Amino acid sequence: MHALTELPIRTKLTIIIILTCTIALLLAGISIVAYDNYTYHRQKERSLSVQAEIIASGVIASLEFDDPKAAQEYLKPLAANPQIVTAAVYTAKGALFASYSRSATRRPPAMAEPYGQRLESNELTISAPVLQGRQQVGSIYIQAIIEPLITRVTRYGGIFVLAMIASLLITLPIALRLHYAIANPVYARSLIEASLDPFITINPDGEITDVNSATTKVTGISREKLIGTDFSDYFTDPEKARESYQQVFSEGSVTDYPLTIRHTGGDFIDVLYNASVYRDEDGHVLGVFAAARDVTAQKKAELEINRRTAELQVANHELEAFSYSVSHDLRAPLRAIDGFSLALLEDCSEQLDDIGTNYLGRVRGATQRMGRLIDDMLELARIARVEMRHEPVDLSAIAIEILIELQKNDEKRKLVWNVQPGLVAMGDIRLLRVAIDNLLSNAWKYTARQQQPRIEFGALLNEDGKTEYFVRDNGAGFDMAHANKLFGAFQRLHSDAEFPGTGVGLAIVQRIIHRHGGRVRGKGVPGEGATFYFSLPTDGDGVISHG
Amino acid sequence: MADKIILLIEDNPDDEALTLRALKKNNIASKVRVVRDGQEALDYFFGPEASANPVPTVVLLDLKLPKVSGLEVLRRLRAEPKTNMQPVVILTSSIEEQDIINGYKLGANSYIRKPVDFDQFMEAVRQLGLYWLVLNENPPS
Repeated sequence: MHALTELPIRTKLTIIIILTCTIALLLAGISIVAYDNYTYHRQKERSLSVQAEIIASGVIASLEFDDPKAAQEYLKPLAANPQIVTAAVYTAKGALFASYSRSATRRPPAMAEPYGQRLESNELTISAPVLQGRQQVGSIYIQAIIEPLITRVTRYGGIFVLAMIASLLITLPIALRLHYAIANPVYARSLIEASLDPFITINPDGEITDVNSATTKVTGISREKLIGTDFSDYFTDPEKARESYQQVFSEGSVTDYPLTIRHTGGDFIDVLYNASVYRDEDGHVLGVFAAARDVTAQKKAELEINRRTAELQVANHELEAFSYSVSHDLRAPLRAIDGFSLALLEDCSEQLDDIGTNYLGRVRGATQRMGRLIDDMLELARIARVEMRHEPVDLSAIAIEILIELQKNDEKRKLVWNVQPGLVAMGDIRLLRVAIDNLLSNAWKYTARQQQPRIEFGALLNEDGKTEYFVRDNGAGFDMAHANKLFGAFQRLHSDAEFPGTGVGLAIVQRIIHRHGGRVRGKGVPGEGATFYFSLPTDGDGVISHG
Repeated sequence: MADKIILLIEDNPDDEALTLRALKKNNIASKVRVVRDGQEALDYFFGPEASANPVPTVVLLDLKLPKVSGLEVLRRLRAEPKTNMQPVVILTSSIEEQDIINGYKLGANSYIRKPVDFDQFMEAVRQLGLYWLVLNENPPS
């Protein structure tokens, strides 16, 4: 039986139809056979009695005139009925007068038998008097074979099988066609049961009329116990629950109605209810169908996100306060060192020899360098903090502007530059300007000693089919062995004497590109030049990191 | 030019000395009054002896001040009819975007960052003096 319950509904239905058909036909067959058996005997007896009476009336004359030949002739036509085995006419005294036998082996008895009917091993025997008026002139004897029951049952069996096949041929296609109509409610029920969300139906009195197993799970109460009880009983705020279904009955539906289910185990489960009325065919409201969604996990996640956001905000505020303090407080002493060094040089020059003057010059140089370091450090921190906007940015236009500006500041340098036009990417225009400015300023700086300096800005497709933008120069280049240090803050691959700098520029570039969800890499050959590649997610929903 | 007064609001004595030196070096002959925190600055304008204090031609305001911050001083100056047209130049170490925005929002006339390099600082003070004490026409008092 277990195996049967696991079969698909379609197969179950087919089996049920075949079984029902078979049982019905079988019962019909048995009753037909039983009835036929009964009527067959009656009918045979009657027809044999009639036969006997006909013969009896036919042989009266022969008996009265003692003409056995005529009686014999009269019996002859019985040969037309193959079921009649023997027949005989006896005189009034009981002596054999005339006889008929179908085969030589069977003979009628020599003396007349007592009157009546007898059924023995499929042979029906009738013995009856021959009457002339009220006087008995002789007797008649007739014996016939009755077809055995088994022969007829076999014949019926064939008919039964044919009927079975015919009925199945008719009923199965009809049944299969109706199958969906029959199976749909079952299907719907199994869908309701399959749901992880608690489903409940409520009648207009607020009583639960049905639930699925998810409801049982969330309340800790069995389906049987839930049905017939008040819907609002199972919530921490029954009044609010009552209002919810009353609202459904009055307005037709509710959406995301927040309630808290009380589990018998003492747990509280936050849910959002979506409910609507359901109606019969005539449009009368039958009840409310309510589906709940367990939002405990979401609520927990929300709390966690809020907590982390608050933590992040605190950290951000601290960082801002730190930057602010650095910006104000760290630079003030530097300004004092530089200012008073200069004051010394100006006001006490006669007390200072060349060495003293040189040292003070170094103090001032170091102070100013530290000032730049602080500024760059603050810039790096600002790049990480600044809020990002997302808009189309014309990178080509930015590159051209920056190159023109660089040229203006140093008109003596002859430099060839080439910018691929029309490169537009999504991103924050201010940050991308800072990144491109750093890359082009680097290119400008490191090509200073080149005879025919060249700077190029463009885009290409990398092996993954992603667009990569690049800034290429034919300047000092770098050794790829140190490539891992390129983007580290305050890391430098050239001495300050060769090329001045703080080592923050590329760190800023990397931070900006990472914040756009892109990647940045550099390729260089010492003395031949460097190329810096960066990618930017082309659409608006690229992952933006805050690294 | 002798009656022109600069009010320097600066808590750092080094910065004060350097600013005074820069003014002197640039031959800016105006008198300079120095107050060393935000409260003192407010007292200069609104204190019991305020009426005795001359109206400054320009106020050089540092932002990071003890007691009352530079931005708060500016807000109070702009809130009073007596001082709401007073020229105020923010002269500070910070170039935090937020400071610059808040400074202008509260009605600063100018925002100048003190450079670390004293040569640049000298140049900034020279231009500042020239502009506010010579070129600029102040509102009638």
